[in-house]
Amino acid sequence: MANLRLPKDSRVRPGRTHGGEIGAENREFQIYRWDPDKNENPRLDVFHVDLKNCGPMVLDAVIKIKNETDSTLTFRRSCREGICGSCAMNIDGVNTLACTKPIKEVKGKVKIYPLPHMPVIKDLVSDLTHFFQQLASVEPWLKTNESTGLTESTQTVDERKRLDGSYECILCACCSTSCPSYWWNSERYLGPAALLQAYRWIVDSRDRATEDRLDQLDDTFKLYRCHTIMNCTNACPKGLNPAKAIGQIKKMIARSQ
Amino acid sequence: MLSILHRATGLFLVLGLIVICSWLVCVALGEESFQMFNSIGSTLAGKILSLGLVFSLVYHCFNGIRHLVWDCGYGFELTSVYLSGGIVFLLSIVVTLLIVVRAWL
Repeated sequence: MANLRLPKDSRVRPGRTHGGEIGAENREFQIYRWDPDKNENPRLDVFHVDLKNCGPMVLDAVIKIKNETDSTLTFRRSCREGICGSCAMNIDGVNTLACTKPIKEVKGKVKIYPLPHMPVIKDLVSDLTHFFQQLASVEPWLKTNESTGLTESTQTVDERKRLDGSYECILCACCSTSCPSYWWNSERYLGPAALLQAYRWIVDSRDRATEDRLDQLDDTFKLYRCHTIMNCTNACPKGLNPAKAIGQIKKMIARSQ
Repeated sequence: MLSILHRATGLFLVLGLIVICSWLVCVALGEESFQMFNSIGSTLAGKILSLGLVFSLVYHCFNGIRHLVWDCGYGFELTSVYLSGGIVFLLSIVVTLLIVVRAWL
């Protein structure tokens, strides 16, 4: 039976309002908090940040809050330039990278939640174990059956061009966790991120396992739970198009039959 | 939003099948039951229901064509997605109104 509401102990309650400077360019941040060690419901804490003394991106503000207001605030971050994919979170209702999302793009209060429909480890850190297992299941590496020895495995410029738009994926999980099909069937549907990676190896001219890869994906759940909702493409902070890649995989399977 | 509407109209059409079937049964049972069905159908609630059914059929059909185009591998860019969505929605409203106006006037 479908659950239309969160279980009682997961419902988000209003949280604490933290002090802090109310500066000239004050902006209110509402951040999802949950501590696994306390037997409490998740809550939405309120923080105030003076944008005059803060970097331009949402991640700058979150780091500032952790440094100056509440050191227990927990989140992942690393590169701060949109290449590591660690700081993916739901900001202002859209999954994106905190480090490339300008605070000025958000109107009014900045609401920050962890990636939707994922188990929460603490605060803004979600459990991506299953997500990465799904990536591993598409065997995202080059498979050849001929011995290439010590020679290079070359590609033409056109063959290389086919990888554009898929190799750039940084596996931040913004797309998969924005997909309603993935929310409902994440146990068995691979989700846009894993499928984009599957596509990346299917179209690689050096890979020799194309048919096996397509066979493996030809499954009601793994691939065909995609209903072209397009949330993935809409969410991707790198401007990639997973929906298009999934469409191409479906087309290739249809053609090969 | 349009994708969930596709699903909702599909579901509604299945329920609509029951209405169509019961209409057929009423036709088969003779004049009296046919008149009864028609009098229920021409009430305000009946008209709203038929309007909903016509819109569902038209929208589901046009959006289905949109899905066929996607299945052929076209129209995946965000701008084309929004454009095709807008076209399908407006077209559905216009065609629904045309059908309804033609049927009721």
